[in-house]
Amino acid sequence: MSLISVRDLSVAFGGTRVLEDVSFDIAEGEVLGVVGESGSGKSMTALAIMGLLPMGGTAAGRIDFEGRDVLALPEREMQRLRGARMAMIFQEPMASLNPVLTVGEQIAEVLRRHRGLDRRAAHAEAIALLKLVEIAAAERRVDEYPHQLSGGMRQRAMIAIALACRPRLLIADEPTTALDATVQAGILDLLRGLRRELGMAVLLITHDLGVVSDICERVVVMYAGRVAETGPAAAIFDGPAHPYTRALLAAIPRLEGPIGALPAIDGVVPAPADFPSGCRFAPRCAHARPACDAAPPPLRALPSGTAAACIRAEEIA
Amino acid sequence: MAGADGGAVAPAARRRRPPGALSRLVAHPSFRWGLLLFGAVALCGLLAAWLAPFDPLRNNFRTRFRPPDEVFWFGTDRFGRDILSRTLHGIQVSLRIGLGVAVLTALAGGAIGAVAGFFRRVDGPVMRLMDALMAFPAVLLAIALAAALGPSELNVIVALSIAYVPRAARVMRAGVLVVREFPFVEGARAIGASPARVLLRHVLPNAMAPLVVQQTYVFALAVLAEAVLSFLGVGPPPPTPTLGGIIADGRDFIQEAPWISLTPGVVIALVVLGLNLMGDGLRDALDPRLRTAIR
Repeated sequence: MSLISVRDLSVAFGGTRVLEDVSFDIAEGEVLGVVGESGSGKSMTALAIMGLLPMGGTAAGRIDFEGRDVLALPEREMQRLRGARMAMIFQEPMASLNPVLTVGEQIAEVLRRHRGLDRRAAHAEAIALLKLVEIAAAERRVDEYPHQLSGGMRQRAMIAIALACRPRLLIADEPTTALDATVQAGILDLLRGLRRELGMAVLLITHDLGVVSDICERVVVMYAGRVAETGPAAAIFDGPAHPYTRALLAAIPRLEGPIGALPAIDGVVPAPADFPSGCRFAPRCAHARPACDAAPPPLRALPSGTAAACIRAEEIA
Repeated sequence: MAGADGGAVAPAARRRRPPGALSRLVAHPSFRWGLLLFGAVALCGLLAAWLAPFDPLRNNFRTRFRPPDEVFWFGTDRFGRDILSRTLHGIQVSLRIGLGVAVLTALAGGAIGAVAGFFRRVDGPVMRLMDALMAFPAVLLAIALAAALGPSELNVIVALSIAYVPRAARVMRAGVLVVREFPFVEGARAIGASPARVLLRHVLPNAMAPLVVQQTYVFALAVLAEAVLSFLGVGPPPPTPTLGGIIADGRDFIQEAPWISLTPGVVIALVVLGLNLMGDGLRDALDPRLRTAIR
């Protein structure tokens, strides 16, 4: 039984569908990576799960979390879930903390909201959480304001807030994108360790395939609001079936081998209003045939162990 | 943001804190001058009961139209009342009105603007209402309201507050519109905070600075507007001494006895100048980015 099961999730703003027929499952304690270029719908998927779609956005489909469809839950119920059963950390550690409140006050806010702790207990627990995320001198840091912390420490504080109520699902939306490479590695180590320690599931959104191969068990590759390919991380990296996945993997710089220009994918992700009616990757795909433009290809299980939305997956393998 | 991750900051750097808003404020030259001016005038007003050499209300027909001399430092008016005493008491009334208007518009306008900026559905109707109020020149609106409500100190405060509320609401709304898009607001929602809590705890404290600055100017504007209302006869009823009222009393004798209008006029100028200087200092102290951009 999976912790969360997303079925045919579509998100639309007015008449524009930015997300279409997205389906995936995350088991208890599993780390699922969602990868794709900017504009592929990764963040929108996360926000839909949290019930935090921007104004004007409507979601259709089902998102079953711990047996309940969160899309059908009233806002009050969602407020009880958010921060307690599911939590989220954001891309911008610099701006994701309230500048007028101390770190401790912001951690305490979740604890008092969901665990009913009083001020003193929440403060003590906040220090314990800062220690959990490996912030040195937690007793002092707890009373400092966000501007007194470095970027990496702020992201750690964000993680402490997210983990305060031991959520079953942690959504991390590009948690390391805005950080230095060395700090990135530290944050990823921390996430990996905490996942093991707390046994929570993680939905990790990233466009960094290195991060994915590092800590993810399964991968969803998204393109232009649809799932292009999904499968176990090893299968995706060893035998990518979708031309988009192949192109992404080819664009990773390698340490060994001759130094040359990195292959790039021509063009950009189309804007949601201009999504093609057939395969959305076809206009940028080297293997496209007229048949690709007929209808959006469904996800098909392939012998390589992944499922890909490409009608020519076997031919080009 | 180099490798300080994990808290390995040198002890010296750790203790050094950037100066807070309060110390920036105290160090600001124009705020100091403004505080000095405004504080001196306000203190005189507060201590009017002890400082005033005469009863501001008692008529004495033997001392009518006395020019300034050693007994009546700033002269007397047509009823023989001491201008200094009346001005000192008038400061009290005028500042009470100014403060009342500044606080009332901050509360009402702040609440209206915050709700309009945060709950987008009510934004349109509420702000159109504010626009409608703002379409009237503030002083004209205040005169009409004060005339309709009847002359009293409280009614002047209410009338001026209604006239200045739209400005406060606009400033607050603009601030909320900016702050509500900050990632930490989404973060607050992501930990399950209710909309009211997000607004009160996360958005408002970060959006309030412009309104605080604006209200020092509203204070000054209200002191001026009170003078206008009193001058036109819809202020607090005579014989209550107000700065504007004393100027109005002297209007008919401006050629023969200019001291009557001159004294309260100078005081109004000092109050307004002081408040504006304080407002400038407050603005710079609350927005360090702006200050560095200017220098």
